[in-house]
Amino acid sequence: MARPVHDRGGWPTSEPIDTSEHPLADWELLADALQQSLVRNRVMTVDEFRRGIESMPLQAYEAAGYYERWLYSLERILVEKGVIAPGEIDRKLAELAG
Amino acid sequence: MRYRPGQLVRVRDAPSVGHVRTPSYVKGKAGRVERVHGVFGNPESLSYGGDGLPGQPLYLVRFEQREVWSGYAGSADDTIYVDVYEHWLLPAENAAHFPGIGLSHRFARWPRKMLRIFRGGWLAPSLCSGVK
Repeated sequence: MARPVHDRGGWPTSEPIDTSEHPLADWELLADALQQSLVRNRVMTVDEFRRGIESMPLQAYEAAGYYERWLYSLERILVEKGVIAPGEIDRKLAELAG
Repeated sequence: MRYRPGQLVRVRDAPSVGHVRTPSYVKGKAGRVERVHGVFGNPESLSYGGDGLPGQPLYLVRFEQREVWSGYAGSADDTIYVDVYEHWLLPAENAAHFPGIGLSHRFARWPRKMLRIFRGGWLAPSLCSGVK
């Protein structure tokens, strides 16, 4: 059986992982704040949030940064719970850009 | 609470289906309970909107690195600590499978005199290396 994408440690290689830090961008701080506020207000559990990250397709997971994975999961879980509609964030972004 | 600190346990070697907190690299490996963190809602249920009941005791388990990684090149004293929920653990009393930790654990309960006899007798000294 295939491993879930997040299940690292000797997989897919035994090479050391990149643990270097980088300064946080504003949107990353906001993503963190959003996640915490959703958990504290019981909109979602931290377990649901983690499951959302782990549900990413392998290629998307590999390509995404830490907080990009968070955003993926936040959108997925909020859609699942009916808090936002599928595609709602994309539509709003297009509206703001236009 | 099924296990106590100091007890030898083995992680179930089962596939991760759904949201599983047990990392694959310790599956099938034997370790020793270091500490009991407490009882928590089961994340495998909570992650899908369930109530997390029945709650699962969570243990801090200590593994020898050479038990976890085949061909481990570091020190024999190197250990790794992993949090594992109770339903992912089995008792690991079968010392034959884990000669490194199992034998000394089993012999620890034997009277010292008997151990000295064994050590000088038919049991190879290397098998009693964990006994002081």
